[in-house]
Amino acid sequence: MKLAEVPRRKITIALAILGIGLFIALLIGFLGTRAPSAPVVTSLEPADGQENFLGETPITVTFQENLGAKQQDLIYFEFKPEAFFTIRWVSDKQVEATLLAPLSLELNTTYSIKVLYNNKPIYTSSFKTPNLTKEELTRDLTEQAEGDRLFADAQTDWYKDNPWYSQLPIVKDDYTIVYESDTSKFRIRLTLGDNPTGAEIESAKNRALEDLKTAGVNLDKYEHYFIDTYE
Amino acid sequence: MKLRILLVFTSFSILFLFSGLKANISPAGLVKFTNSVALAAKPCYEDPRDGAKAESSVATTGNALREEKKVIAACSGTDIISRVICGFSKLFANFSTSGTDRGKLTLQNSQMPSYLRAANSTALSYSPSLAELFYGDSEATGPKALTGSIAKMLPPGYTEDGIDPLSGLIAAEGQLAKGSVVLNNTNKQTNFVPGEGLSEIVNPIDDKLPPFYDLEAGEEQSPYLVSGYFGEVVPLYDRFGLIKQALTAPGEKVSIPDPNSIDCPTSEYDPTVIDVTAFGEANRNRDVFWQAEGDIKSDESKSCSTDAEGNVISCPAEGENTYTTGGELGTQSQVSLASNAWKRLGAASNSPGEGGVYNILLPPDNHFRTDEAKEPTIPFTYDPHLLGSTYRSQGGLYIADLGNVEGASSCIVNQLTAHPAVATQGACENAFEFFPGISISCTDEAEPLPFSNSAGSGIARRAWEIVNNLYQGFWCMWNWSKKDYPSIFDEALFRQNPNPTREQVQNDDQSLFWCTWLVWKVQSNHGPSLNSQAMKNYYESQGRFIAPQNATVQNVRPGYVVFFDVFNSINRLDHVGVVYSVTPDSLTFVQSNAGTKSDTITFNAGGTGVQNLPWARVGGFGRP
Repeated sequence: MKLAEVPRRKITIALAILGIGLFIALLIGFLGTRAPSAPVVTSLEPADGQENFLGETPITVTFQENLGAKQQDLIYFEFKPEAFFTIRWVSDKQVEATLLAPLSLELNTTYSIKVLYNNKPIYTSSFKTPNLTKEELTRDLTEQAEGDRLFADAQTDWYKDNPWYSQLPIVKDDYTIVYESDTSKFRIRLTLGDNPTGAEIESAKNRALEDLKTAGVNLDKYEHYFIDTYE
Repeated sequence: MKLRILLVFTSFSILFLFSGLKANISPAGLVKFTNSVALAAKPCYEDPRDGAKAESSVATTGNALREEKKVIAACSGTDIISRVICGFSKLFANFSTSGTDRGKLTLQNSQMPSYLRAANSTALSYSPSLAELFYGDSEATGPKALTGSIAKMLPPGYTEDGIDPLSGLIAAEGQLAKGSVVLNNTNKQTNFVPGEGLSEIVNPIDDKLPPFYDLEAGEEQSPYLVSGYFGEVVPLYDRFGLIKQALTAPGEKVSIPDPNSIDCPTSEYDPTVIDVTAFGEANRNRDVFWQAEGDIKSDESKSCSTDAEGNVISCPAEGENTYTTGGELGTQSQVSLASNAWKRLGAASNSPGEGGVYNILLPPDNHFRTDEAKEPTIPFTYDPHLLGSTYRSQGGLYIADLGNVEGASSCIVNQLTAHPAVATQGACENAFEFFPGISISCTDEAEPLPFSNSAGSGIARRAWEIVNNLYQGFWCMWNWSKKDYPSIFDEALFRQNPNPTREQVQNDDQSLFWCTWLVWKVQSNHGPSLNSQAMKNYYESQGRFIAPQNATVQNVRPGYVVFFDVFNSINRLDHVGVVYSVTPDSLTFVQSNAGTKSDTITFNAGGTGVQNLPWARVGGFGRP
């Protein structure tokens, strides 16, 4: 039988069946492959609006529930202005975006972060980089590098020359010993409680001085005084 | 009509089906594509060693040390498009970085002997005048005739098993010999003599000892095929020169003074001759593989192959004769004497004065830091603390990890071994620069704070946690937040040089855990700067600053920031800490990037105003 001989009615029915079949298949396919419902973000670090963020820690997003591999594949971040980053799933519930070259972030700039799921935003946050120029940041660090070194060197020298210093303050039940560097004196505060006897006070003073000697203090070189409220 | 409608409907359905499929693929594909492109444009490198940064791995050593770069294009997509793009980006990144995993040591035939001889002399050699003085014969050998840097490190007349170090080393280290190269196979050493073929070499002094190479004779006639360990080809005592040369930046000349002459100018050598490269093998072994190669003039009599009757079968064409060799700069010498000598070079004992050449060079209580505990490789015995209580029987010695080895080498070669008149002034001072004199010893442990974390202030408690976890990093200061903020530390630079110059760290806010980082990490209202002076200015501008004379036991609370200005320094604040606790007589603060993790400030006896630290003025307090 030639096609022309097939009744139009049968062709119509066949095409209708084909069309409906395709439509149903499409519907099933479309609904069946649609992405699962969007996950809920419970927190994002750094907190929204955080200032002076230099990208020194990863952007951490925590979800309400565990995400399966397919869902994790659909999670992505969008930074504006653009930033380079890598993604790492810490757990099925938490993902980190680590900025690749933190120093490449623009200074004095507000960055928006969008957490995308299936290419649609499900969470938005922002942070602001320090209100500095690159030159200022470099200058600041240059000074800080020098400052910390000076502090550590001077501190180290002092500790080396005065090993007793690391033993201070000496805090005992009956007394506290501190060093007054402005006067180069040791202050010994007695804390004996109520109405100590003279012998108890004398004993505490002697023990305090003995502690200083044990720590390596040359009492002929350094003065000391007591704060004694009992006399 | 119905037919047309159905045809249109069906067409739309089919079209929609395809567009729907595309829509389903596209979002994920697009995401991954974007990711891949970003990585291809800016590849992310990861140092094979614990993920440290790789960019600065060649900071101080010019072409001497290169790290293998491992590309980690973090494309996690599983679909074909993503995988293809990822593959290309990785390929591109790998191609563009072309990391090497094998070092190359190229010794130019014309320069090697003279250079090595110079290095020999500077490190360990016999002195004719000393030989004449002690043995009455200028050509005599013996411990008392020794000179050079190693000899200066050893007790006078030092011997080991009755053999003086140089004799032992010469005997131990298989060398080029008698105008040709020794084919050194552990015990037997074979000599190829032109016209005679291979023959076993015998030590002319003592045939029970391994033979040695006569540099004088070998200089012009060297190389045939060489195989063996580095230590067998290049004498141990030449390594001073090699280290120096390897550490010389490209374009600079290696300059080695003649130790025997007051007027002898330094000899210069091209550092590109030797290119020693370090590799990130999977096992992290730090042996330096090397290869020596060079052209030699064709000499048919030397290298033509012959049959059993002696008939020439083939001869190389002009220029074809090349020699290559390889090995590893292992310090596990086959001969105990050499091994012991190498220990002396790096460090050997936990007893004062026996800590190896580099350590002996240092002032009392100082030492060069190594990281043997982190990257054990080259076996040797070493206690990194020198005076400490922990004795480690095995360690790893890596040139780049030897602290300021370049400076030490310079000190040895240019100052200690050269004639005083030509010694480079300040060579040793440079070696010690940026190394704090210490009574506070370096450690690989995160030493805990001496008090428990019981503060009522959340800021103070968090500061305690961070500081408690700090490790000693650069300059032995507590500036490595290995646990809490590992990204704020340039580990690659640290592994190369734990005592870098200020310039090497000051351009990167994340090169180390600056003192101001601690403030940044425990409270949010600190201002925009990582600089302590700027930070103080910010607190002042916010009305949250307390001058030191106004500080009281009541108004300074845990969690406050405390500022310091080192005496006799430039008039600006140098350092910050975070107040942890306050008592009627003093307050305790915690800090990062300093010599200690905590310290105390004493209040004036009346409770108002604070005493300065013995080395720094207290600059005031900032309220969070």
